[in-house]
Amino acid sequence: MTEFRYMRKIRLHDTDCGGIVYHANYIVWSEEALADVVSGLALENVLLDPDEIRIEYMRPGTAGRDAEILTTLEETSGSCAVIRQIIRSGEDTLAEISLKAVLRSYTELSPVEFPVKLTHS
Amino acid sequence: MKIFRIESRVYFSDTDATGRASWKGIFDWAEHGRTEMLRSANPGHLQSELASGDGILTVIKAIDCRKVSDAHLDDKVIVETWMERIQRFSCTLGQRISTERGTVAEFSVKAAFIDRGTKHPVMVPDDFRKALEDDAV
Repeated sequence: MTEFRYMRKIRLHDTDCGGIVYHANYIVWSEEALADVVSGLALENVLLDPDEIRIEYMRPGTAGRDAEILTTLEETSGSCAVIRQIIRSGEDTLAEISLKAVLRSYTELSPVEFPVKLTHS
Repeated sequence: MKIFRIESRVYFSDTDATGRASWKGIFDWAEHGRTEMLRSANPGHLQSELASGDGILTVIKAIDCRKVSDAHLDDKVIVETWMERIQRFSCTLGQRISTERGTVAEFSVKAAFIDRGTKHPVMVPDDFRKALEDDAV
């Protein structure tokens, strides 16, 4: 397994009139963190493109606080990856995301094989 | 099973540099579909009125979604929403987002009802439940 940590500040534009982070913005944070994973793997001109997403909302996030997105590449096979993400703010777990993604060429969107094979341990 | 349907279109704001509708755009369409279904099921209860009057908020607990194909700028988008199951404190909605070319994404959404002040679970209001049960599978 390979882990990556991505930090961001929760901003006003992340929230809705309920006073908390709008639920769909966790997907935006997930995408930001996945882009960081691609950089961390020193891959260029590719993106991790989710096909399936499960997100469980645990605690509400509020503007002004820090959010940490911990991404774990659990398994890769060919161009496919099984990924887990945990979003925390301080002591609170805001959300947990499980997703299946395909590594794709940024311009052609064709599948690209992962440079290393990871297996779930 | 009653399926509630809304239509929209893919706008620039829904897309990203890959030329496709983003997951954020897809999630927004799903939210619009759920909102309009709940409003249609009980026209006297706008979300804002439910929150201010009864002090009840609808919160999302979990979403399972799967992308089947891509949507592109100017595509007409159809969002279909139906009630899969309603329980005392929560409900599960099924959704399908499609364009004229076919299914874009499928959603299963678990939502709960909480007290606005305490954030504790509350039972679905009777008239709201009745209206939603009429739509349940």
